[in-house]
Amino acid sequence: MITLPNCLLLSALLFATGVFGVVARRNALIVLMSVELMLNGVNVAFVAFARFYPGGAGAPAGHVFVLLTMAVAAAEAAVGLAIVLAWFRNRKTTDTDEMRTMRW
Amino acid sequence: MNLRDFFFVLFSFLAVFGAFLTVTRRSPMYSAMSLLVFFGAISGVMMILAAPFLALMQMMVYAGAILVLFLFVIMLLSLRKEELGGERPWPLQLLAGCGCAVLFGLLAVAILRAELPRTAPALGPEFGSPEAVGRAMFSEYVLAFEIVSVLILAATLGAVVLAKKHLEPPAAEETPAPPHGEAHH
Amino acid sequence: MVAVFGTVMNAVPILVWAERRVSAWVQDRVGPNRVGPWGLFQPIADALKLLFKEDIVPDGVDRVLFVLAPAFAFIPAALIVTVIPFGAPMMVQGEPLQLQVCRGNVGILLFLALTGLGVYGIAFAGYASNNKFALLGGLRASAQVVSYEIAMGLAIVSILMSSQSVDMNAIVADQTGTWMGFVPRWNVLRQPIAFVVFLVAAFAESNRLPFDLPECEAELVGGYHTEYSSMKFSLFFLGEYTAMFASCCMITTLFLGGWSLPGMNLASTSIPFSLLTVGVFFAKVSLLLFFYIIIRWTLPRFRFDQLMQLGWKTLIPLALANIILTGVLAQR
Repeated sequence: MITLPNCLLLSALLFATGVFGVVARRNALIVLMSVELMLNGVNVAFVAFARFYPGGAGAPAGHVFVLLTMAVAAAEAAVGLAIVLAWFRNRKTTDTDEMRTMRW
Repeated sequence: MNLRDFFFVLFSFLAVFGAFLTVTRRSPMYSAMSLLVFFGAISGVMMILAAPFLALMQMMVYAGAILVLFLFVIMLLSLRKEELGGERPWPLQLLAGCGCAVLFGLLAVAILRAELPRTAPALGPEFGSPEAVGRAMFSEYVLAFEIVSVLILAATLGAVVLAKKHLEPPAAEETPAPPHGEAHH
Repeated sequence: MVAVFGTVMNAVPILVWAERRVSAWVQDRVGPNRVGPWGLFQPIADALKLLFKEDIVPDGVDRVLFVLAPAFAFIPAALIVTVIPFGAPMMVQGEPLQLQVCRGNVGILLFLALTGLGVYGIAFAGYASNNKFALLGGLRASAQVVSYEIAMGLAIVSILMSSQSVDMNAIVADQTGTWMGFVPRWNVLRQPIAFVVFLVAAFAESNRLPFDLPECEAELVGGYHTEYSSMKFSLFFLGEYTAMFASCCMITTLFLGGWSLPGMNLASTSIPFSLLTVGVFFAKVSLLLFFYIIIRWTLPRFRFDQLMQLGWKTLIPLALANIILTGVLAQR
C-alpha cells in the first residue's frame, strides 16, 4: 500500500488541487492558501523519494529540501499577506481580478 | 492491510479532503480551517514515511506560524458576505477543474509508467531524525541554507515595509509589524 | 496516557482552588472556604454549576466554528503533557518503564508544535462569535502567540545546544550532577538568559497576566470567550489552566532539572525511588505554579504595543545573543 507510486499519486493530486485553487478562485487569500497546497504536494513527493531511495544513502537530501521549501513558503506567505493587506487598505477588496493596475 | 497502511490511507484521504475543501469554500475562514486539517494529515503522512522531524516541523511552521498568519489577516480584514467579492462563473470553474484533472492525469500516467523502485529499503534508526537532517543541512547543503536565510531576511523586510501604513514620515505611526513566518534558526 | 489525562484533570481543579486562595491571600481576603475543608471542593461546585447552566449559542454566530473552537482550545494543551518525563524510569518485572507517554527523540519539537496549535481555539472563537470584542481578542491572541513562539523557540535552541540533544530524557540527564558538591547543574543556572526569555514567553503563550490581552476584561469585556457559556466556556477555562500546568512542567524539565535532585543515586531503578522522583517533579511544578499565581495577582497588564515591543525588540534579540554566546562558550 505504501509504495512510491502511491505517494507520488497523492502528491500529484494535491498539486492539481492547488492549481485548481489558484486558477479558479478570485479571493487573494484563498489563492495564497492554494499555493501552500501545491508546495505541500511537492513536499510529500520529496519525503517519499527520500524514503524509497535505494540504499537509503542519499536520503536526507529530500528532507533538507522539504525544510528549505518550508522556509520559502513562510517567506512567500509573509510577503503575499502583506501585499493583500496593503491592497485591501487601498482598494477595500481581496479580488485578484481587480488587481490590474500597477499604481493607484 | 496492516496498521501503517491503514493510517497511510486515512491520512491521504484526509489530506485530499482538506485540500478539496480549502479550494472550494466560499469563506476564507473555512478554507483556513480545512487547510489546518490538510496540514495535520500531511504531517501524518510524513510520520509514516519515516520523517518524524519533518512531520513536526510541518506542524510548527505551517500550522503554527503560516496558518496563524493567514488567520490573523482574515480576522483583520474580517470580510462580510457582500465584501467577499465575486467568483468566476461556474463554466469557467468547470473548465479549470477539467484542466486540473487533465494535469493530474498526465502526472499519473508519467508516474505509473516511470521505472520506480518498488521495494522500500530498510532504514537505520537515525533516518529522518533531527541529527541526520541537521548534519546533511549544515554540511552538504549549507549554501542553500544560507541563501534561504537571506531570502527570509529580504521577505521580512519586504513584509514590514508593505504593511506599514504610511512610509512618510518614517515611523510616525506605531504599526506592530505583522509577525512573519518562523524561520529556521 | 490515561494516567496523564487523569493527572491533568485532577491538577486543574486544585489549581483553580489554589489560584483563588492565593489571590485572596495576596489581596488580604479570605477566599472560598465554605465547601469542604478549606474550600477544597469549591472547584467541583463550580464545575457542577457550569454543567447545569444553559448552553447558549447566540444568534448570528458562525455555528460550526463556534462549536469547534473550545475543543481546539483544550486538546493541544492536554497533549503537551504527554511529552514530559515525570520521573525516573522504574523497573517493572525486569523491564524499564519510562514515565513518559510520548517517547522518542522529538519530544521538544512536539511541544513547540502543540503550543503553536493552541491559538486556533482562541482565533476561531474570536472570529465565530461575530462580536467585535471577541474578534479583537482573537486578533490579539494570534499576533501574540506567533510573536512569542519565536522567542520561546530561540530560548529552547540554546538549551538544545548546551545539552546536545532534543530528547527530553537526555536534557534531564544533562542537568544531573553538581558543581562544588552542592550547586545543582540545572539549566536555570547555566542558561539564565534563556530561562528568563522562556519564562516570559511561556507567560505570554498561556495568556496569563501580565499578558492576558486576549481576554482583558477591562477593555474587551471577556475577549474571545465573551459569547461562550456553560460547558463550552469551561473548556476554554480548562484549556487555559491545562496550558499553564503544561508550561510549568516544561520549565521544570528544561530548566529546573526535571525529576532529579542533586545527590540522588540515579542508577537506582526501584519503584519507591521512581515514585520519589515523581514527587520531586511535582513539588517543583507546584512551586512554579505558585509563582505564576503570585505574578498574576501582583503585576498590572501590559498595553498591546508594549507587549509587541517586548517580544520583538527585547526578547528575540536577547535570545539570539544568548544563542551566539552559547555557541562561543561551547567552542572551547
